[in-house]
Order: sequence, then structure tokens, then C-alpha cells
Amino acid sequence: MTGYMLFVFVAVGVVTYALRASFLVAIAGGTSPRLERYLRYVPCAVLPALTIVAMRSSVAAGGDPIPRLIAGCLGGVVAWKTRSPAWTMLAGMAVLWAILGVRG
Amino acid sequence: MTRTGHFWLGARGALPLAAGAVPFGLVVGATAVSVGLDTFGASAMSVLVFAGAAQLSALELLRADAPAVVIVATAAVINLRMVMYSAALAPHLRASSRRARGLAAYVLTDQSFALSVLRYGEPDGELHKMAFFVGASVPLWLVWQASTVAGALVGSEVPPGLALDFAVPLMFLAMAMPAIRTRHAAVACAVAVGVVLVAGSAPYGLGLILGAAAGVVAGAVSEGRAT
Repeated sequence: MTGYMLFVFVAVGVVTYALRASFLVAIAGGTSPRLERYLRYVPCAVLPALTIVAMRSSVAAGGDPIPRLIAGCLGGVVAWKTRSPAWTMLAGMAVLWAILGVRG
Repeated sequence: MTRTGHFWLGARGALPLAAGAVPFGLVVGATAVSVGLDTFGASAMSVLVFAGAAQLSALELLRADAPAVVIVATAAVINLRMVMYSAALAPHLRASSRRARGLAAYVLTDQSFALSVLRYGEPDGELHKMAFFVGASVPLWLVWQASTVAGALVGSEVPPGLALDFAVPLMFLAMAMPAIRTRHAAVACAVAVGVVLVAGSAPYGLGLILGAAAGVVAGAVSEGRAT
């Protein structure tokens, strides 16, 4: 690792920490009901957005889109019914492996 | 239940999500080596940054000889959602000391945030929120450090036929679905997904933060109209 790379990682680390600490440490004051109304929708907006981004990179990395779409949808149903991360991931991987296995 | 009990409650919930992060960590470790880092360097990066998408983008930009300013700015945009997480968690963790909150901020991730706010939303007056949060964070930290080192050591030797990379979107999906519990939450989700699908190819991870922000506003507006 060069000194330049270390410098870059320290800088990225400091900025990332500052973002994480922003409200938790620096602005720990009370929140208004108005702000809380917005904050309530952080999980249900950000997590699905992250799902799409991750799905896209999985396909961009050379994955076959159709089996992943099917496995993703079925995984979504399992997540909806069970609310269990373990079952969601097991079911999604099992479906993907089944489709890829049958096809190939 | 004791504080230790609440720590383990969080840790148990985090285990499957941490397992889902393993393929991501392997990719980051292997990418680090391909850019010219040694195992120690890959490990140092994971300890310093501890944020997968930002690490991966930083490595790819280093490979492309991008200026340091661009690398840091890109990581900032990718991790901008952490400000939202920080703000949403702050009221819950206000009872803890500033030092504890400072340490908690370091281990704040998508996973520990999602697990904690979901749990905090349940009627559960006795929960020690900081203990639960730290418990939900530690497994991911350990797994992340171990899997980046493993990725740096074995490279991308994982057979691609296993399609393990698909565990990453499944991990986010597993966190996303339980978060959608009301009509307004469904609106927020639909708008966020729509914007990401349209703007997702925007550079520097801008699509993600645009979609997230649009979804949050849509949810709040939907709720405001209903009341």
C-alpha cells in the first residue's frame, strides 16, 4: 500500500465517520415532529433503493438477469410473509440455484 | 432482560445479514489486491472505512487514477444516507453518553440501522436501545473484516457458478420488506425504486441518494395529506 492510498483511505474514513456521527454525536438535540415525519420514511425508501442498486450490480457483474429477477421476486414474497432475513436469503439463493441448475 | 441480553438479541438478529455481506466483503478484498494493495492494506481500508460500496468505488477510482478529491466526494455521496440513519437513530440513543454515541456512529451500517429502527418501532418499553444497536452492529463488523481479508488472500477464486454475489441484493431485500408496513411506507418505497430505476445509472452513486431522498419526501407528503 502506498502512502497516497493510505491518505485516500484515511480521508474516505474520516468523511464517512463524520456522516455517521452527524446527528448521533454532533447534533444530538431534540427533533421536531415535522422532521420525525420525514425520518420515519428513511428505512422504507433507502432499503428498497439499495436493493435495486445491488441487484443491478449483480447483473452488471455478469449475472443472468431473468433467473435473478425471478429469485428476487420470490425472495420478496418470502420476506413479506416471514419477515425473516435468514429465510429470505435461503429461499432466494435456493430458487436461483434451482433455475441455474436446471438450465445449465 | 439485562443489557447483555439485549446485546445478544441484536447480535442474533444481525447474524443472517452478516452472512449475506460475506460475498460483498470477498469482492472488496479481491478488488483491493487487484488494485495493488496487500492483505494488510485491504484490512486497513476495511477498518478505516467500514462501508462496502464506498470502499469498492474508492478502489475502482484508484485504479482509474482519479484525483483524491473525486474519490472522497464519491464516497461522501454514496454514504450520504448515513446522515439520514444518524438522524433517525439519534432520538432513540439520546439517553446514552456522548462517548458511547461516538463509538456507535463508527459501526452504523445499513444492517444495524434497519434492524434497530424496526425493533424500536415495536411496543417494547424495556429494551436497552444502545445495547441492542451495538449487538446488531458487532457481527457485521467482525464478518466484514474477516471476509475482506479472505477476499484479499484467495482473490476471486470463489466459483462464479455459485452466484454468491446474489446474496447481497437478497440481504437488502430482507431488510427492505419488513420496513414497508403502512400505505405511506409503500408510497415511499415505490417512489424511491422508480427514481433509482430511472436515475440509477447516474455517476458517483447519485441515483441512490436521489431515489432515497425522493422516497422519503414522498412518504412524508403522503402522510401529511392523510392527516
